[in-house]
Amino acid sequence: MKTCLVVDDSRVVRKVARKILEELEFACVEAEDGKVALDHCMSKMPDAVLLDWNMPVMNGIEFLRALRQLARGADPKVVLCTTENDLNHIQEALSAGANEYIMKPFDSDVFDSKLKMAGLQ
Amino acid sequence: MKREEFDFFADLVKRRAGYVFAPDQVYVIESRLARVAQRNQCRDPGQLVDLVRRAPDGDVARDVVDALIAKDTYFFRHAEMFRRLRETILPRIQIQRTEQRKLRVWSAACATGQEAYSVAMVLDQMAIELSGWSIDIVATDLNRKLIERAAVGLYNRFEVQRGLPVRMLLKYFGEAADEQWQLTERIRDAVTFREANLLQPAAEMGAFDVILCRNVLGSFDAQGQAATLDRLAGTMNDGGILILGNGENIAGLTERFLPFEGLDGVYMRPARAQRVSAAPETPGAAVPGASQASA
Repeated sequence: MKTCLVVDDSRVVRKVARKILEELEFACVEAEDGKVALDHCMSKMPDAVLLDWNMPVMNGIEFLRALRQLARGADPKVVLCTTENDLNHIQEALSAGANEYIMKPFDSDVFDSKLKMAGLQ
Repeated sequence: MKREEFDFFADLVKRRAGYVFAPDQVYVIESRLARVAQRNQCRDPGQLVDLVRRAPDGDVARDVVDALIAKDTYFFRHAEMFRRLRETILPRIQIQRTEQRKLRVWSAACATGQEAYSVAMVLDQMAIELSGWSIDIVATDLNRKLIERAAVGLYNRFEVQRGLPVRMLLKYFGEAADEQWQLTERIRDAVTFREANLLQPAAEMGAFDVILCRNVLGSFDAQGQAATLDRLAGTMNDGGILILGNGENIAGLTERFLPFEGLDGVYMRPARAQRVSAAPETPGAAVPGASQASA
């Protein structure tokens, strides 16, 4: 079973994402900010990361840049999932190493489609 | 909805667009017409029937048909098919048309245009291989409003996230007002949109090398499917490729195409010499009377 790390400071978003991902047969781990997520990746690298942008302590982009520097840090497929919906933010996310990008709000069709495009289904 | 109201709408959409609704699809017609009824202040389906009867060629009748043939579409729908288009189908056509250096693609029943624009993006990525070629992408639909919308190339946040990889979004779209995204002028200009009915002859559109007619035929009855396939065959160059939707096939409907390279839902219109010898081997021999004029 593939593992997905859900990184978001909103408990509600994490819960919704976990529900969808578990239906897709992912084992989910949650983190409320980038620092907690990075600690998790250093002990066990997930197959995928669903990542919010704006979070306290360490934001999504800071986490992503740090993740890609780790040994095996290039392995996880990372999907940014954020309300930052403009061209500059998308470009910044891809430059930092994101594989896909979901603009919030989104529906199940979009979520499903993006996971497929990131090679997660 | 009463049975006679269902029959009225089912007959209308069959005559105008070839779409067939089974008797157990009352709820489909009801739900698809709900907004049309609301827009026209109809309190029940019977009032909508009256409006259409009063003006059979009017806007309400057109709205009813448009609503009943509504089709879901998105960029790179069935990504695997677009990979095959890029890697197998287009290179084959390229060889066939080397002398003419001309490639024509038809996206039939294109709805809001995502399929046609996906083809345009694929061809854009082949720009070096196709340098000096004349490329023509034609996209048609019965619904005039959708055609007008498609030509503008504006899509909302949900539409640009279904099927479209984010890198393609960055390459081929720009941000527009109201959180919309617009295709670049180069891609918009690559596609010509026009109103057309698959039930009517399409010969005046010229001959095509690739026709995408996906997720449409399943809405027609066998006779409508056979007649449509026949018309499509009549608008194809020798060796032209027909691409149907996932799970769609021509078994028992026509002898005018041959399966192409074992790809599901992909068929080739053989050259004249091939047609005579190959036709009897076509899987699913045509049902009596279904096949139209000989190739």
